[in-house]
Amino acid sequence: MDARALDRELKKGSAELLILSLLAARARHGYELNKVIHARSRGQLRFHIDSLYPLLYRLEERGWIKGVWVEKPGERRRRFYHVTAEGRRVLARQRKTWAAFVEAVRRVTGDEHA
Amino acid sequence: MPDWAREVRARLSSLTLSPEREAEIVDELAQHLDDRWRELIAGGASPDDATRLTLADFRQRDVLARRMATLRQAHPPASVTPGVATGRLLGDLRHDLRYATRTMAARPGFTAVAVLSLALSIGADTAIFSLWNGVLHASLPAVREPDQLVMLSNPDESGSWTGRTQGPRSWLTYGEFEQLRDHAEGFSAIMASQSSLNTWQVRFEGGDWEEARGRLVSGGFFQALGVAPAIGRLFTAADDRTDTPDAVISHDYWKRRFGGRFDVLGKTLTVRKAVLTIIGVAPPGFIGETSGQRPDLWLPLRMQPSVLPGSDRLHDTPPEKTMWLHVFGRLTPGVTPAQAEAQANAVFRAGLESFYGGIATPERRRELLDQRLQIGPAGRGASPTRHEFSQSLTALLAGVAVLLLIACANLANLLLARGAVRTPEMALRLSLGASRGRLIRQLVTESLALAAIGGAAAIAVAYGLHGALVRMLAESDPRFQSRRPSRSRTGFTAPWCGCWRNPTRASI
Repeated sequence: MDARALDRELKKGSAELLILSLLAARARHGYELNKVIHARSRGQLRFHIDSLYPLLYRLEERGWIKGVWVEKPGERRRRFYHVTAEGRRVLARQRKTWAAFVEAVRRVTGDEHA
Repeated sequence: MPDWAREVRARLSSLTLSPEREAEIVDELAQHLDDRWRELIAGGASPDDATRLTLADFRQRDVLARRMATLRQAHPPASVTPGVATGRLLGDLRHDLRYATRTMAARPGFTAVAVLSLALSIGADTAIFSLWNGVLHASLPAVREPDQLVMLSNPDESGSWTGRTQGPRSWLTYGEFEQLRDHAEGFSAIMASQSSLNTWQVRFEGGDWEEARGRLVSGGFFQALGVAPAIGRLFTAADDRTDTPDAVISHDYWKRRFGGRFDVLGKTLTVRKAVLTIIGVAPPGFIGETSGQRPDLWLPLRMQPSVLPGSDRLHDTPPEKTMWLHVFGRLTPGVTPAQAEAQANAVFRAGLESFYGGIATPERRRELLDQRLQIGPAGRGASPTRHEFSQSLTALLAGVAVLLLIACANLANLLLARGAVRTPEMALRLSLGASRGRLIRQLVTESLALAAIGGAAAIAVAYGLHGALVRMLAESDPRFQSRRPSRSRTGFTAPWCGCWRNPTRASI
């Protein structure tokens, strides 16, 4: 696997984790999600609109998140997403897997430096 | 500001989203683009640059559609017009059932009347049929091949008679049974049982006196009926030759009185002055040879002087005989009932001649010897009250059959009236493309759903009514005892709902 393919796979695997993590803190709409990811990754990560929404809809179909139209006075109605109970269970598993993966990578790269 | 909705819609055009879902997605993504555009404008970009940068958020034109294409929502099920065939049998059936449920819910009055009509008529019919079948036609439960059983006494009579008699015998004496057992070769197994049921005061292991129903039977009783013990052992033919004070209890009594404990074996049982030992438990459901009676225990015939004191029914002194036993047998393979009857009568007559040998007058002797045995089928067992209830139950069955026909006619009228009301609905569905055959199938499904609900409600009605009828009969005749409802036995199947086996039986 070349470096670009690896990069693509890593992004794909981590995308679900990113979205579930952010929505677990509080409900957000798609644009806000993208902005937060962009800001917190200091510009390293950013979803294209044609990636973000299909992913949100996929997570919703799996029952991990739920989108609800919210209409506030003086504002346009927006679709806010929140994590479901099943989504929280998935998030916990994914966090564990991700931590194990990071630790494994750290050990490998650490050995190189030792 | 560009028309963001148009931009999004253009990128979704290759998908088959439902109109509602597409509108939602267009709305959501257009807002996203709008937010992005406004942010760029606020950051100092010109409108043209802002538009170009915003649209750059889409990569190639078809990426959104390709990503969306893998989602379920991009493949909505085809819309269904009620009554229009989709080509999938099960799918159509599901739609028909769902539609039928909605139709019934929309007209609760009609549904309630239809279901009640069906429930009451089918329930009453089933309960009466169940009782009629159990009383008049059901075979003895838990008995092996009951159709092969024959009876040498009168199944409709119970009791005893001491003296002389003429013509066909209702009951036999113990001596006559012994002669038949030892010499009648037309039977592979033969046994005798007391024709009436006793209610005794008994006590176990020196406890309090309590009531129990029991019957005296010969050693070959269980063997001839082809039953095996639930626990312990049963009487054998050898018990006819010893005076062992043993007792066998029924499975029902074992569960009810002893809680199904295995240490019941070996317990002592006192009946009058006789102390007997429980040696075994009969199999579940077994009630013996008399339909409609449920003895708690069976004791050996040879215990008669101890448990039925007052007379010795085991030995007769000429010219008096004590006739009190029913005699059952299984025919030897290859022997016809007529042959077995002839053989049995030969043995019987020889016994009579020997018994009345001291009578000097030929005329008197001829009179006394004018007795015979008649063999009849005994698969349904003996029953002192079957004949009595036969006519009334048959009349009752005919009555409820008429009631069912009336209910059917009534329901047909209701459906017809409802059909007239639904004419505009049918016309609309025909205009939407439904075929006549498909509409007929929908209506049949609705009728079947209604019948299924009515049939299910009829089960409850049948249970309740059957119980009430049995109680009523038991109150009118103490000899009547119902078998408890049992799902394990085949019985009358309600043909109109075709979904349940008769759960109840009663017999006389």
